[in-house]
Amino acid sequence: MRLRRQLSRVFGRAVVRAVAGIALGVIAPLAGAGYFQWDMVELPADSGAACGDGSPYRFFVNRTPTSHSTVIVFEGGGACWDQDACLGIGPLSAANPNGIPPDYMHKLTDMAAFGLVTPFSSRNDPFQAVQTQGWNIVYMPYCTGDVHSGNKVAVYSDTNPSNPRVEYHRGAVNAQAAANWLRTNMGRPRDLLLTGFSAGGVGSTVSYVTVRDTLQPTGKSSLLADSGPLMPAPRSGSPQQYPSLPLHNKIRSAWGLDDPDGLVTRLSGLPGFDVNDLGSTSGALAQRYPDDRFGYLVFQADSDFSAFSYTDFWPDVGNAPDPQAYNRALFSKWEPDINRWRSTLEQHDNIGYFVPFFRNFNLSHCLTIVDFSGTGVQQDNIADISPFVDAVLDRGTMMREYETDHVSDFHQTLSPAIILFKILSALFGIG
Amino acid sequence: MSAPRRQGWKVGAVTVGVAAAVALGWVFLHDDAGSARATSLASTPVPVQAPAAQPVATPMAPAAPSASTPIDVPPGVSADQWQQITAELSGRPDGPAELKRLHDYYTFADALQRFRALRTARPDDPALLPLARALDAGLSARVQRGEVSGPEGLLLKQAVLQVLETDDVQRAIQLRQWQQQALAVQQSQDAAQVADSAARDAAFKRQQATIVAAWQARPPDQRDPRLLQQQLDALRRASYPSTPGGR
Repeated sequence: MRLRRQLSRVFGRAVVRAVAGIALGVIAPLAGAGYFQWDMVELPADSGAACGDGSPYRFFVNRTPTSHSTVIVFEGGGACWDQDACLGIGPLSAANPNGIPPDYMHKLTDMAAFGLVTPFSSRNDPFQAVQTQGWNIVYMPYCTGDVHSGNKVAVYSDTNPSNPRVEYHRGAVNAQAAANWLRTNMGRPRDLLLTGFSAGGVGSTVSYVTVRDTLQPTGKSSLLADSGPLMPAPRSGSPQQYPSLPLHNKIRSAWGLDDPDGLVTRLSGLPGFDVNDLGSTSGALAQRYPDDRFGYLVFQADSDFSAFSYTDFWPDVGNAPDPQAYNRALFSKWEPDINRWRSTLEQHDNIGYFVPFFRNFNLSHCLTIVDFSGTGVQQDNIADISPFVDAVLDRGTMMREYETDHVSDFHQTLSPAIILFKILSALFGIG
Repeated sequence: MSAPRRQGWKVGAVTVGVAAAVALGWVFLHDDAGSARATSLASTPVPVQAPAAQPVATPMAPAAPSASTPIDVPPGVSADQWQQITAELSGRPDGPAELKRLHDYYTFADALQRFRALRTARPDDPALLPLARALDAGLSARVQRGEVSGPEGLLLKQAVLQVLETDDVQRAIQLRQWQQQALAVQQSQDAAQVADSAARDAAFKRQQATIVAAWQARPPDQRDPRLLQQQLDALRRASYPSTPGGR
């Protein structure tokens, strides 16, 4: 954290260190960086990387000398396609509108969930163990309002024309630049896990090709995408058939996904990827990397991602007269979307999914934030998502869990970590 | 897509946790005396009582690294791995101190793993007490050294206090004190870097506003977004140049 790393000036030294490190069987050290210490990497402007406000993109690395494997965690936190949301105004607005400060990992007020995310980004979690806590850990903060997918500079002036918001939707550029840095400075990992929650769930999915192809892991490579499902929504269909289609059309334009350097253009060579259907991404990844494993998580009662998907685009949701009508309208779209999404995932043997019903926390949004408590599927005697995570990482039989018991989840107890989260909520407020 | 810092969370906060959070949060927010005490403790580590029955290899409060040798194989690594780490660090000026730090860290990590496992399997086991004390002892120093992030540290503190302090209110007060103390120290460490970053950002945004205003002043059909992007990228490169030597 104390020192700033730059992308382009350390290549020569890093190669020498990497070679020496391989010879020693441990990972090459970086000057000034200590093992097991969170260190900040600031990507230089000439890499194209940026936060939404134009400030430098910073990410964080915690290395270990005894593992060559790496987990990369993509942070979540809203999205934006208008001025207020990009400024962080409103309940569904984008996180970190003023960028990522150097002390991001020290504070309780900036990181998602006060930094209590996730067991994958915590090496020293006293409550939740996951095997990647012994790996190198990379935390990718979220500050571009584009679910880590964009490559476009937009000027939003819809609410305050005299003081427009310039938004650097550079999420995809950040992922590429960070991957370049990791490859240059840490070499090829043995095993690789990309994971993320919420917007980071989408981000880890759409960044998978970029990061995997850049890092070229020598062992197993996996994805664990939490609560960022890319719903099937072909542009040849109608919104009535595919309720997420209006959202997809909006973000394709707002974030430059179809531009020459945009996400859709870059993914267009993948087998099975339909440039007219963002929902084909998951299947295309499975086909492109048949030996990899892809795990997708979401709650049936997720009231957050569904709100993003439909509120701005469906009057019966956005203008619902009361909460009951809102929920009816929301889930009349979400439920068929989830079922269609599961059907597409089931076409690939290397994809698993875990879809419990409800968690008494964060509007049932995200299974991996804070800890795994409350994510069980009681009908199958599964206490939480741990066996699913292990199956993805260890190449066990891919699990496909869909909870039909809609009662038991209401009786699950809150973990100490989630109680701490609620304390912090009372302390600092939310929103 | 929303991370849990949004309004929606308010709706989701329910039942048991809400009552606890409100009560404990009130204590936090109103503990001015506790804040003062915490500040005064910022540079004075709290003495740690030796555990009555200390398990093998529990971590103690990390001492300032020195060049003296510890240096047996710590828990959690094999002899071969430790030998490799030792060899790797041997060429560095700070190698001995770093080796000592790593030894201490591995001991801490091992204790944490045992604490977590024991807490899950037998939450009332008295062996948790010395483990909790030992983990607690070095926590602030680990946050200051960047071995534990601020939020991680708070979670760890919460975990050990659940063992060390049975009274809910006292636990909340101690958690609050620790949070203020640890983060205040960290903020002072980070202050120069944060100020430098903020100054660069402010200068960048002033110049960006000028460029955008000029672009907006053009007739709509002459506002070329590609030209604007080129200008802004040039400004970013000038504002945030690569630094020779990197870190």
